[in-house]
Amino acid sequence: MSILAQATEVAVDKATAQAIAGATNAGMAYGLAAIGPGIGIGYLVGQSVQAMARQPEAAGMVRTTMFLGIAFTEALALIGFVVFILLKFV
Amino acid sequence: MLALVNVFAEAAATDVNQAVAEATAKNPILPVMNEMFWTLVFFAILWALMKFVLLPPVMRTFKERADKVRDDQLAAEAADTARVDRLEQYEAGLAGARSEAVKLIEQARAEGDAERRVQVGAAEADVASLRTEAAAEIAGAKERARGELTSSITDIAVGAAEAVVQKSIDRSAQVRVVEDHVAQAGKN
Amino acid sequence: MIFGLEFPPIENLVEWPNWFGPKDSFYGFNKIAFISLVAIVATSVLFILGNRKRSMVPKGAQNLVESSVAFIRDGIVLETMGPDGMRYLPYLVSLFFFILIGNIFEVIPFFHMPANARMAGPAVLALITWAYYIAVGLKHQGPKYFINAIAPPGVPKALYILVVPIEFLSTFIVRPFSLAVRLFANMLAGHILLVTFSVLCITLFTASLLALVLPLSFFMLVALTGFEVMVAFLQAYIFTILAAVYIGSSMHAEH
Repeated sequence: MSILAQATEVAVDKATAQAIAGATNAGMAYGLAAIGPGIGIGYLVGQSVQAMARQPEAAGMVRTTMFLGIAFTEALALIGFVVFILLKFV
Repeated sequence: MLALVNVFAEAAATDVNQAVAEATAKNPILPVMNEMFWTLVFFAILWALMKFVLLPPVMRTFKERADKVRDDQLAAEAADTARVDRLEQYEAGLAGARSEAVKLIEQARAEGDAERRVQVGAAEADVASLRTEAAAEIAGAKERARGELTSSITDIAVGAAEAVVQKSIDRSAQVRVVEDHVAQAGKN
Repeated sequence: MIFGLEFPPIENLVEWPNWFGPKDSFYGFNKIAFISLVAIVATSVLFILGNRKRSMVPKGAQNLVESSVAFIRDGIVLETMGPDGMRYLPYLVSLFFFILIGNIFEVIPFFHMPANARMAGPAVLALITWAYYIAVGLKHQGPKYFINAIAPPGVPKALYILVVPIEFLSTFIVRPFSLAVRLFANMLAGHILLVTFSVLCITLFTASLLALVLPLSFFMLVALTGFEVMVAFLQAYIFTILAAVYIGSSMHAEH
């Protein structure tokens, strides 16, 4: 907020304004994109651990499926990260 | 804060197209031609190498190992069957030998029994002959003793009777009486 | 710029000048291409060493080669495709090693650059995988593959209006895209993370009071390096297993 306040005072040029907007939106985009996958992966791994604890003989299969699930869930967060890079650096 | 950001965004939007056109040259996200080209070339080389040169020996080793494990397993199973067979043979031989031994023992026992029976029979025959001899001897001795006894008793009895009646008595009649008596006594 | 912390622009982190070849030519050979070359050479050397003296009881390089191949065979191929998928083992093994070695350069001194933090590598590999599983589908199911993939049987007729576009998008657009973006974004994020902590360590290496924070920052750098080794392996595994799942789903019509 303070940075933004300063920015309004010194009457920034358009490139700086774009950079500031990009950085702010980038942070917000990544932060929002990380919420869902964070919950999802936590739930997924928790359930997998429970499954492995209940049936240790099925641990290999559960682990493979868990990694697949993590890969699919994580993709959302990673797309958020790509959006972050696009907004911040491009 | 969002409103403020939007103000900036709108301010920036006017020459955003220009900025994007400028940025595409150094966009860190987009793939670059030369890197794509080399990755494609090198990956294709690695794939071909892996398919035709690098992986087949490994798979052959896996196969050889699996075959060896299977062969060894089969050999072990065959050896186990052979062992069981040999054990059965041995046990069968053992049982044969044992029955043979039992048979021999039985035979020996039978022979022994027969021998003993023969010996016992001979001994019993001996004993019987000895006993008959002894019995004959005893009978002879008894006869003799009775004869002696008869004559002496007759003498005594005749003498005693002569002494009682004071006259001679027919000896022959007395002898008959005594003999009868003695014979009766011998019977009783 | 905060407290004299000067973060380098991202172009300096991921873009490398050509070692030879003109600037914007399609055959300019730079660090990324060199890492890809090393991936071939290292893999070949490893396999040749492993295959040189083959024995029933593996040891040394042979052990490493055999356990990696057995890992891919048992953990990926048999798990996702069954015994029918053994013919795709060479592709998956080369994929695994290519990605793993490209990733592991993230933590190798004097390189410190994962080849897959550039979109080129993941994009090419994802496109090859995309073409490969479509080819496998056409080979196993004929032209009916597209119908089977887009319109799975057993769905109420009215729903096909909804299902067909979704299936088309997810099978032919989202799959390669997410495959490439997953690998690329993971490696780029790890790279930026390591750069951030390295820059922090260098900046804190002063005679001021800030040097007190330096041990924490350095510890984070070391810990994250270990973490990135794990991520490098995990991403190679995930890319390979997803490629196997996609190829496996092309082999048989969905039921």
